Amino acid sequence: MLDNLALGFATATTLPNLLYCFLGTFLGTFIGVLPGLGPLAAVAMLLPVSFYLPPETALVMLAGVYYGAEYGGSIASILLNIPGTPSSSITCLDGYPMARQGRAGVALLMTALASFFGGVFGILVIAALAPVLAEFALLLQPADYFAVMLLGLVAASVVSNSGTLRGVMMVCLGVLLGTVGVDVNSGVTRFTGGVQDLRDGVGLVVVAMGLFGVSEAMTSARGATPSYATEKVSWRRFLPQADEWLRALAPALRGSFIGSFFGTLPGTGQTVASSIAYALEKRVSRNRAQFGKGAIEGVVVPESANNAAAQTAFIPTLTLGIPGSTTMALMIGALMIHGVTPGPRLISEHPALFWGLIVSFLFGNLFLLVLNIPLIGIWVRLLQIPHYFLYPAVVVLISIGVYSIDHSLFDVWTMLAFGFLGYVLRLYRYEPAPLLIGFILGPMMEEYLRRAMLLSRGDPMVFFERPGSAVLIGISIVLLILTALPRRKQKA
Amino acid sequence: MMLKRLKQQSGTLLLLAIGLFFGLGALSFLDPGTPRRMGPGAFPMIAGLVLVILACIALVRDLRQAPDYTPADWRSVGAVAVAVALFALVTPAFGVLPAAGACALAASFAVGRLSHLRRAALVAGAVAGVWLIFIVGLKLPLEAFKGF
Repeated sequence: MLDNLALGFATATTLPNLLYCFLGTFLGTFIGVLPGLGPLAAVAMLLPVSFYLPPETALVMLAGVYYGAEYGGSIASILLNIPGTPSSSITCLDGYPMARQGRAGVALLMTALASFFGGVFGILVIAALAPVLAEFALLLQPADYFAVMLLGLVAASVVSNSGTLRGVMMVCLGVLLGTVGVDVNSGVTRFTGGVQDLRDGVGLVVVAMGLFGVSEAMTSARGATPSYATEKVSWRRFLPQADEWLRALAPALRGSFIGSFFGTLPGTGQTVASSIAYALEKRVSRNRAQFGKGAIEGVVVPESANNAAAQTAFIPTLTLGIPGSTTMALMIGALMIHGVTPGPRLISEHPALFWGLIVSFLFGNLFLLVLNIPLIGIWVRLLQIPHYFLYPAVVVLISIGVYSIDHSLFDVWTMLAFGFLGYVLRLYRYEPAPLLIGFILGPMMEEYLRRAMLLSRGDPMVFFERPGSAVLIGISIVLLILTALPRRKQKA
Repeated sequence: MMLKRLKQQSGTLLLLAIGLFFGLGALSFLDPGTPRRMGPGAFPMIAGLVLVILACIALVRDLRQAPDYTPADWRSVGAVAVAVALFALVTPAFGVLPAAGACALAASFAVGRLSHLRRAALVAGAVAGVWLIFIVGLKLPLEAFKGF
């Protein structure tokens, strides 16, 4: 363990890695602060850049971008009541009231500290759990992998704001879109209509940028520039009162714990982690009357949960090769481009990469703290960039970003088509997020389904005979029933 | 009345159509194989079928209680679409920088009223930004200008 950490330190503290870690957290925070742009957009935009770096450095930078963007999202939540990322929407509940009471400085400082606390907690969980899990994962069979992914898909659709039915429909659409291209098992091309460019399927970044970037620009371009509600913040009062320090400690610990747990489940991610942690804290806190009116615990809990989950989401990604979230899927894409296959063997085959990444998380979180306390003024000013500059710039950035991946104009046209699709779906209250999870997990699921069926000689009972997969499938079914039924009763 | 109700369901109908396309496409052109050796058609067929069934449930449920939907804002949609399309059309002919300028110009019509000065500043800023970030900074092998 200590040897591994030493190796990690040696990898993470080389000058280029430190530099790119810093650059990544900086750019991530920069993009995350901008309204409407979250970690997914940030990572997708900077993905082409990472192709030109060595694998360790590339991953360290992208990871920095990822949690930097998470943090940037909370700044917008607290100051403007506009969550930059869905996962930071919970922070709005108490962060914005605090800002309106002139305590924005305190809220931002506590956010930075809580994020750091949660992040470090998550890192410790990864360092302790991931190697164990990787060894355990070697025992898993195709049926178990299939069940894990099924649970991921169900979790993703249940979590979506538009209801379980619509969520599952989006997942199915994503799975179907994922089948476009050559079938790896038989070599038959599927649904390409004879178009050569579709033989390898549609790229994940192309789909993601179309569904989120282009359609977001179409939806929000006309919105008014948000007015900055807290101009009269007194920045002198950065420090919380003495008793608030103590009050924040237990919630930070609870938040980190809950966040770490939910981060490891594929398909759920930070939004679930922070909302469950907040809901729970509201029940147990001694200060619960103040929740929603600017309670310091209400900022600390979701932020620590959020960042702990952001870290532990790397566990299924690196040990099973199953992305916990859409952003993680992009990370897997980045790894694959560098010839590293994520999975149970990653830790033993690429120890420098794995442990270097873990230690770089630590530095990245430290950079976040350093960046945010003195630079808060810059981020605040960034929030005031008018919409009429922001959205056209975003459109240019995503167009050139998608083009630069493969120098393919076909990709740009495909992205536009997905932009239209995403826009129409949004109009009819179909949220595109589960679609993307289905698109990512679909092809892997098909692969494992076919392998499991081959191993069982065509007997579908294999999914219920193995304890692991039986339990996971059981949980998925219960989740589906629990979330689908009450809605219908309410409607009737 | 019926027509209006159907219009409110366009999103669900679109999904139904996509489900039918993939499901029927898999059924008629791809080999489903056997349970033991599933062919390339089996998985898309199942997923397409599930989507079709769920879309029907959603249709029936929403017919009783109309779902809320947002009317489209065609000006923003059109401007953003033209911007992306211009980027794809201008790049092969003139290079990335003119394409970025054209893209920014078209996209600026999505955001509502904008003075000429601001629009010019936006286009200039976008071109300069792309040049600085992608060509000077990242040294990506992109053709800045072509055919000049």
